[in-house]
Parts: sequence; structure tokens; C-alpha cells
Amino acid sequence: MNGSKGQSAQTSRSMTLISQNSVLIALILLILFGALRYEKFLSPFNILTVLRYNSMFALVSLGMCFVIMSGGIDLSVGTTAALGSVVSALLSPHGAWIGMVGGMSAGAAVGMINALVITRLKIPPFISSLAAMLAAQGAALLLAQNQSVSVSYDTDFTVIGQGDWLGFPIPAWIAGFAYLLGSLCLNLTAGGRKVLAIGGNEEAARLMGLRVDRVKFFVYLASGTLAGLAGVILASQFGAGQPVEGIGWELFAIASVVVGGTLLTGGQGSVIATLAGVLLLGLIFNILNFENGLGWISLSAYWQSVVRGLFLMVVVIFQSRLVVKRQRA
Amino acid sequence: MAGIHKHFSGIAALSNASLTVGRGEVHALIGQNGAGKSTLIKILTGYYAKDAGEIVFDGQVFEVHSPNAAQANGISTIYQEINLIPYRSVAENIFLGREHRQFGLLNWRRMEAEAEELLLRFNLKIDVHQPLSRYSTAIQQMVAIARAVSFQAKLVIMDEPTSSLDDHEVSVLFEVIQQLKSSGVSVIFVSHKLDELYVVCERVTVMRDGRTVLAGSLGSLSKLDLVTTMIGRALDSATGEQTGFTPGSDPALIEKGEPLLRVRDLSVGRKVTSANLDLRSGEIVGLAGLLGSGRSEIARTIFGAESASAGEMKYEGAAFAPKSPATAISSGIGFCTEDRKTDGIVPEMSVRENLTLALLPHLAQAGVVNDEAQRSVVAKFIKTLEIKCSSPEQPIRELSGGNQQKVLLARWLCLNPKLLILDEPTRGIDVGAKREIQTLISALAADGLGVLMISSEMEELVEGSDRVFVLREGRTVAEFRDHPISEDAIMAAMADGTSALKSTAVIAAPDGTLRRDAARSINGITPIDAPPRDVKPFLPSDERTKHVPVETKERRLAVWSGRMRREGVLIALVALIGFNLAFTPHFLSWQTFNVNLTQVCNIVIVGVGMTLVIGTGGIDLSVGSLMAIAGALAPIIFQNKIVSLPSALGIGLAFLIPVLVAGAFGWFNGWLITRFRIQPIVATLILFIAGRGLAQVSTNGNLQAFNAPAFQVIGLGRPFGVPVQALIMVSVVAIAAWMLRFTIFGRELLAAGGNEEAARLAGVPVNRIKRMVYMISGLCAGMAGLIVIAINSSSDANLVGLGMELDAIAAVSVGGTPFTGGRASVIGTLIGALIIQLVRYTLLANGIPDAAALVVKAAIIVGAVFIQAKGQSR
Repeated sequence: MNGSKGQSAQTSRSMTLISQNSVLIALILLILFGALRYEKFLSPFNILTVLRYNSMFALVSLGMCFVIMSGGIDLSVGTTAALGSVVSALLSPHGAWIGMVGGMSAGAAVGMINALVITRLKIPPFISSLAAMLAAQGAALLLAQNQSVSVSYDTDFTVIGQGDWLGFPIPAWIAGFAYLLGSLCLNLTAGGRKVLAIGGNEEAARLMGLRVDRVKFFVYLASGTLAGLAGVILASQFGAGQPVEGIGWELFAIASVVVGGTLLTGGQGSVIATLAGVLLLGLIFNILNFENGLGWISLSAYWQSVVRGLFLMVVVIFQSRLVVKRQRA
Repeated sequence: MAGIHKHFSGIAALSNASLTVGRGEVHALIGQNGAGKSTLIKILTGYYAKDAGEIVFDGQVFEVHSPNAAQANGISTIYQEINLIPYRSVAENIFLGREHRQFGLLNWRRMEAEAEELLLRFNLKIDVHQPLSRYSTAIQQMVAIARAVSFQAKLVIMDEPTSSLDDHEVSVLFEVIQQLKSSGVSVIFVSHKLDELYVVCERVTVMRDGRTVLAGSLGSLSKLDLVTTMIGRALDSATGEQTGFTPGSDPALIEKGEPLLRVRDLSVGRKVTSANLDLRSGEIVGLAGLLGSGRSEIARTIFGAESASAGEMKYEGAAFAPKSPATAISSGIGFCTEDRKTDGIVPEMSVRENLTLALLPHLAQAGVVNDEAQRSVVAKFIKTLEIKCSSPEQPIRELSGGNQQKVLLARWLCLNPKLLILDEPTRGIDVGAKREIQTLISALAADGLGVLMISSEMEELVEGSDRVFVLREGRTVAEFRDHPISEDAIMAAMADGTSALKSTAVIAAPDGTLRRDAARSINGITPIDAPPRDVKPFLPSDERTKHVPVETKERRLAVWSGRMRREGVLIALVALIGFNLAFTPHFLSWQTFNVNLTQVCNIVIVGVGMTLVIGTGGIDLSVGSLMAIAGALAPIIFQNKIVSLPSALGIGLAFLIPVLVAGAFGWFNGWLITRFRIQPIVATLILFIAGRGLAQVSTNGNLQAFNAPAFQVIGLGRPFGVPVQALIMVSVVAIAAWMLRFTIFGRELLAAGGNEEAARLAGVPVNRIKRMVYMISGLCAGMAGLIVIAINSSSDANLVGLGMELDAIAAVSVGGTPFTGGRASVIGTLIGALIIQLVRYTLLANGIPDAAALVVKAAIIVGAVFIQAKGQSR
């Protein structure tokens, strides 16, 4: 009896290990594949470009990861990033710091409204953030007067998105720092555990005396702020605040989080695996470009969504299998 | 606590309730369901605020506003349902909310060590790193108790802590209670098991109808005293009978009958290893065993809800291995589950719908439900079973536990079953209703029904059953057949299976099989598709029972708020139109009408599919991408890019194929959801991403411009001046509304959304329904895609249907269909879409930029959902 119990715990533990690290394993395999197949895949230029371009998505996905772990969802992150890009572009003549703080504050404001609607009015996150998505887009369009807003090149604003520090792109530093902080927060602070507890069983968490609404408030606030920061990078990298960018980002962020193994029902998740998910989905695009470069085939850029979709499907089917097995065990 | 009053929406839940517990005292709190125990406790723990009264705790007036504050003041509570976080580790669950920290960061090592130490006090040695969900219910319950005790509490409240514990665990718990007591901690102990109270409690408080009716020392009161005070009337328990069963039929007579059901060496997963039992028509067979002994698994296997891994079942003399509940139902088996809430009732649906859920296929012709027949079946059963409800239309969640159980019994009885499996038929039901149900079970058996009754209550087993089988760790260990069956003997068999039972029991041989059954059966079941035997469902006779609905104030209020909820949207629409008539120039022109209509049509058509999907509790994010696919395909077909077709055929196929393809993709969504149990939001996200990609790839991302008047009729045609797409929209809405209201598919769809497990166990083909619904959503999206490209005279895969999923979801939510599933209003979606469109139009017509309209739209969505939620919670 004891033996079989121990064994099942063992197998289920290794199963968890696989499922937790499956995305990392897949990422490594994909990188190996690229490195062996394409000459310039591991060139500094390619690596830095991938990092620079994907750091925006990484930031948005980090916020989404926390929201999903708390059992919610945030559809507003894409247009919030657009709003952040517009606000920071408008403030860019005052320099990088002001632009950055402005963009993040705009994001934080959306996150705060979203959080208040969810916790005070008790509106489901799906609907509340859907509304916040529309509102943020409306605000971005109003501020930008329906066109993109050029950033100022007289100040150091463009450094945020285009500059390097110690040989790495600044956006990558920002994203890396955010993930480090996020991981620390999730695993080593009470707040992080509370997020997971609420996602796991909200009613129980409430009865255990957790201030559920407060935790949720911070989760959505963080998500909005990170989306705003992604918007700042967007504006700085492309030289303009883009009021119509960001549509669909929320669903790609959800895809990254899911690929990273975080359960959409909440209560379980990993920050690092989310980052791996972002890079994985980003690399698919990169590899598609290289493949075209080889000249054997010519796949239009449109194939990347098909491949991403297929990839997402394989991952979720794999995960659902694991969950079923774990339930049986 | 003294003079506590609490009202819920005008109804007194507590009036002048009081409770006094001494320091270091173990105090019993008892009462029937609904007597106010839980409310009183929740006031004490700060979950509810009291309306009046005073609480004095530890010598001081005590004002508590949150569970957190109560905990901080030394009151810990263990709730009836285990309230912990399943995915988190044992240690985390124990320390959640008061984690040990070092330099601001969590000190995992210390928490884990302390958790282990704490659990050792409960004789529990488990790996505290593991997620809680890996352990059994009993261990989870012990962890919950350990957590509560570890708070250095002065008062520990235990709400039915023993309901999921076995005898040994109960005795460990009682030891802990003694420990607590000796260290000066007080305990409030709520339990329905009166015997337990005498073991641990000193004093008792009895509640009835929200009042404290008795408080005193337990020693001076007999069990009978307690029961009569709880019920408020004397039971005819002078004979010592505590249940409502009538004595069983003559065993000798039954012996002769051929078994209706015979189970041999049944194994189900790890829970059941060798179960044996048999049952004849007209017999009540009890199935005893501790929690986790495999009782419910056996029942579920007989009913086809789980599949056997080995062993043999015979039903009506033939091998039997039902593949689904639907098969078992068609063979004449009914199953009342242990947990009414999670897999019995569909809470949002009416008594009528719940009662006839399994009967629906018999009540319909060509898929359309015969309302008349349905109503008379319901009226008949409400009368014969004395179900207390204000009308058959009352939502079942508003009924008391006993009446809910009667409705569930009626759900099966109306099918005229041959075998009825009852898993804890009287759990959580007050004493009065309990007796009624027990009497009913006896009467049914006397009429020839075979009943398999699982129960944890010894009196019920002993007095109700003709025979009792005892299970232990998945094996049948004993059978008792001679009356009177002794409770002690059953319990001994449950506990160790080999106790020195002398007279009545047939004891299992060491290998687990019953000695009587020398014949070994074959391992491995060959699944047979049991042919539907002719089940003769009960159909109404000429006697028409007229049911007079009781109109209470409560009920009228509910009806009103429902009406407000539904018609509030309509009022808003009328107000908008009125505003525009008054202030917007040229509003009443044909052109305005056309502009608004063409813009709203697609949202409504897609929204109808979305409404059905959301009605099943799902969501479909892929609709926009499916529109793009349909839009990309049509020009390819009618421009003869692949094969050359006669133009009429080409146009015809250009209407048909893209819609069917979109439908097929929709079906694929449903397949992912039902086959792999992927959440709808993720499953449809796949096609959201890949679907548009496919559309772009197939057109290379280029704009396909065309001029094909025959095809474009669908977008530009105006027979009698009415846009064709408006006609399509109206017919889609009408068909869907009719389907929801009148067909089996519609009713079963909502049942699946309201409580999937309950629907499955009532024989509803949940998976098939879901695949159908997603397919319908795909078909709707396909049609909308064609309309869009026909209007634009071009198809752009990058833009067709972009953002449509959100527009459709917005229309559905404004229209009042809740995202939790179980309710759906297609007309509401139509009105919702019209409102959103009209608001946008109104703002534009009055010179407000489109961007601001987005913000207003956001506010409308939040406002509409908020009002609906208010209306619902009342």
C-alpha cells in the first residue's frame, strides 16, 4: 500500500516536472534546431533583435500570467499598451523618464479602473476587461486624434526602446528585471502565494481571512502598469505612439501564458515558463524568416499565425493529457 | 451571543438567537437544516453582519466585521465543506495568510517543519510539500482542523467536522478536542450525529426556526429529547424506530425471484477491487462502507458513469456494461447522486425542467417538447410526492434540500425505472422530510422497484434494507440477511471486515469473494451496447391535477426583478430610439434605418451562435477568424480559381461551401473541448490565431475585389426594400429562439450549461450538444463572413470579422445572457446589439467622435452586466 502510494507520488512528481519544464525543453529544442539549420541564427544580431522585439510581449504576458494565476483574465492589455505608447509619445519631449512614468501611469490607471470594476461592482473579469479594452482604445484614439504620434528625437526617449546597455538591448534588461521581480514575488513573498491561493479557491481564501479584493486589485494594477510599460517600449522602438496597435496582443499573451503551462483556471503557474512561452512563440516567427531565407520554400509571413495556432493546440492537448493522468493517479 | 437578529431580504433568518459557551467547554450546537446554525456561526466569525444583538467574547463586547478580524481575535472556524486550496501544498494551506518570513521573504523551511510537527499531533504523517489535492477528503479535513487549531485560538468552531472522517479519524479528532479543552480552549461542535455529541460535548444549544429553543447540559437530556426539541413535535419513536421505513417484505418470497442485478468481482480503478452484490425486484439492498470504501464508485459503474476495469455485471439476466448513463437509463436504471448540488440539480432551472430532464426524449416529437404532456407529468409528481414549491416554474435552487431530493426522485420515477440507485438519499435533509422520503422508498420497493441504497446512517440501513452488503476498501466483505440486522455487526465489518460475527453474516473468504459464490467469474468485461429495452415512461393519464401556484410576496418580487432584468434592456432601447426621434435630424429616414441595420446584422448573426455557446457555459473566440475563412473561400469558388463551374452552380456553392467549412471548424472547436477537456477560451483561441492565418495564406493576404451581382445579393439585395441580410438575421434569431424554448436540444443545452455533471447523469448527451453548439456558432460566423464581403464587393482576410468576437460577446452580455451558462436569451442578444449600435450612431450623429463612442460602449457593457447581476442577487 505504502509502496504503491510512494511510487504514484514519484511518477506524478516527475510528471509535474515534465509538464512544468516541457516548455523549456521545447524552447531548447527549437533553439538547437535553429542553430543547426541556419548559419546566422545564433548571431548576436539575430539574438538581440529577437530579444528587443519580444520584450514588449514579455511584459504584457507577465502581467497576464499573474492575472490568470489569480483566476481572472485581462483582455485590456493590448489596447492599454497602445494607450501607454500614445501617452509616452506625447510626453517624450520631456525626456525618457517622464515619458516612461507617464506611459506606465496611463496603464496603471486602466488597470486600476479594471480592478475597481471587478472588485467593487463584482463584474466578471472577462467582461470588465473587455470594457476596459474598448475604453483604453477610445482614450488612445482621442489623445492621438486618430493618428500615430511621433516621438521626440530631441530627447533621450528613444533610448528606452533602441538603446543598449552592456551589449544588451535596454528593453530586454527591463523585461528581464521585471521577470526576476515577478518570479521572486511569486515564490518568495506572501503576496505571491496569496495570488495562487485565490486562484485555487477564492471562497476558501476568503474564509481563511485573506483580503481577496486587495490582492486582486494589485494583480490588475500590475497587469495594467506592465502593459503601459510595454507601450512605452513600443513608442520608443518604433518612433511613434500607435493608438491602433496592440489589438490581439491580449490573446497572444494568453497563448504565451498557456503555452508556459499556467492553468487558465488559476491557482497554478510559473513566471519563468511564461517567459519561455513568449520566446517560443516569438522564435516561430524568427525561424519562419530564416526558412524563407534559405530559399527552399517561400512561406508568407501569414504562416506564422497558422504555425503558432498549431503549436498552441499541440501544447494544450499535451497538457490536458497530463492533467487527466494526474487526476487518475 | 444574545438577542441576535438577522434578516435576509426581508426574511428573518435569526430572531432572538442566543448562544453561551463557557471557557474550555465543548458545546454542541444542533438544529434541523435551515434552523439558523450556520447563519449564527457566520455572524460570530464576521462573515455576515448582524442586524441586532450583542456578542460578548472573552469578557468584552465584540464587534467583528471580517473573517480575518475574527481569526485575529482567536476565533477559528472549520467549515462544513472543506475550504482549502487544492493545488497548494499542505504546508502552504496551513500557513496561508500568516506566513513565516525572514528578511521579508518567505521562510519555507520553517513553515514546512512546523506543519509536519503540527500534523503529528493528529497522528498524521504526510509529505507537506505535496499539493493538498493529492490527499483524501479525510486527510484534507484533518489539515483544515490542524490549520484552525494552530491559530492559538480561544474558540474553535467545527461545523460538521466528522462528516467525511472514518471512525479512527473521528477518535483522533476527539482526542484533539480533549487536548484543546484541557488547555482552556472552547469548542463549538455542530453535528447531526447525535451519538458523537454525547462523547465530546458537555452542554448543548438547540435551534429551531432561527431561535434558540433549548440550552442546557447534555447529560440530563436524552437523544429523544434532542430530536423532539429540534423538530418541535414528538415523533412516534416510542418503538425505537428512528426512520420512516416500513418493515421490509417477506425475505422468503424475495429469495425466489431471479436477481435483477448481479455484480461479480467488479473492479473500478483503484477504488474498487472486488465488489459482489445482487439485488432482486422489490428489494431494498443497503450498501454500507466507510467513505472511500468504493460505494459511490460501484453505483456510478452500474449507472455507466464510470467504466469497470474487471469483473462482470448482469442485469435482467443478461451481461451488462453500460457505456454511458444514457445507456443505463434506457435500460431502466435511475441514480440519485450523493451530492445534490454538484451533480444532481440544475440550480437555475425550474422544478419542471429539473423533474423532466431525463424524460425529455419521451416527451418530444421530432425533437420538439410537448409542453402539455410535460406540465401534466410535473403536476402529477408534485402532487403525489408532495413537493413543496410555489409553482412548477420556481427555480429549484430556492427549494429546501428535502424538496430538491423529491424532485430528483421524481426525475427517475417518471421514467418508470426497474432499478433505482440512491446514494445517501437523506443526507442534509431535515428530519421531517427524511421520514417522508424513507416512507416513499419503502412504498416504491413494495411496488416492485429494486432499490440499491448507499447510506452512512446505520438506522437507515438497518431499518430500511432487506439485505445489507458491507464494503471495505473496495471489497465486499459481508452480507447481512437475517433481521434484525445489528448495527454493531455492520460497523464491525466496515471497520475490519473479519470481526467475530456469529449468526447472520456471510463472511467473505480471505481472497475477498463471498463464500457463497463458489463459482468464479471471468475477468474482463466485454462492453455490449445494451439495446434500448422498451422503457415505458410514465405518461400522463386523463386525470389532470390542477396545480394552484402560491403567489407569495417573495415570488412576485422575483418575477418583477426578472421582468425588469429582461425588459430593462428593451426600455433602454426604446429610450434610445425616442431620444433620436426627438433630437437627431433625419433619424426616421430609410437610409438611417438601412445603415444601422446593415451594421448590426452581422453582430446579431454571430451573436446568436455566441449566445448558444455561452448558454452552455463556454465561449467562442474564433468567430472573427471563421468569418475571414468563409470570406476568403467564397471568391475563390465563384471566380472559378480552382475548378471551372457553371456560374449558377458556382454561386450556389459559394454560398454553401464557405458556411459549411466554417461550421466544420466550429465543430473542430467543439471536438477539442469535449475530446481533450480543453477550456473553451483556450480551444477557440487556437482557431482565433490560426484561422485568420489560414484565410490570409489562402489569399496570400491580398485584397480580392470582385463584381458578382448574383453572389452579392446576400449583402446588397433588397427584395421589397428590405435588406436580405436583415431577413437572414431575423430568421436566424427566430430559429434559435424557437430552438431554445421548444426543442429537446435547447432544453438540454441549457441543462448542460447549468450543471454539466447533473445533465450527464440525467442522460443528456453533453458532448454531442457542445459540438453541435460550436458548429452552429461556426455556421453563423460563416454566414456573417459572406455578408461582409458581399457588401464590400471585396474580401480582405486581414480585416473581415476583425474584433467580431468581442462585439458579439458584448451584445450577448448586454442582452442579459450570463457567462456562467444555463440561461440564454437570443432576443436579448438582438436587443443588446441594437442598443450598442444605436448608442454609437447617436453619438456620431451628435458630433461626438467614434473614439469616445468606444468609451461609452465600455460603460454600457459594465452598466448592463452590473444591473443584471443586481437583479439576480436581489
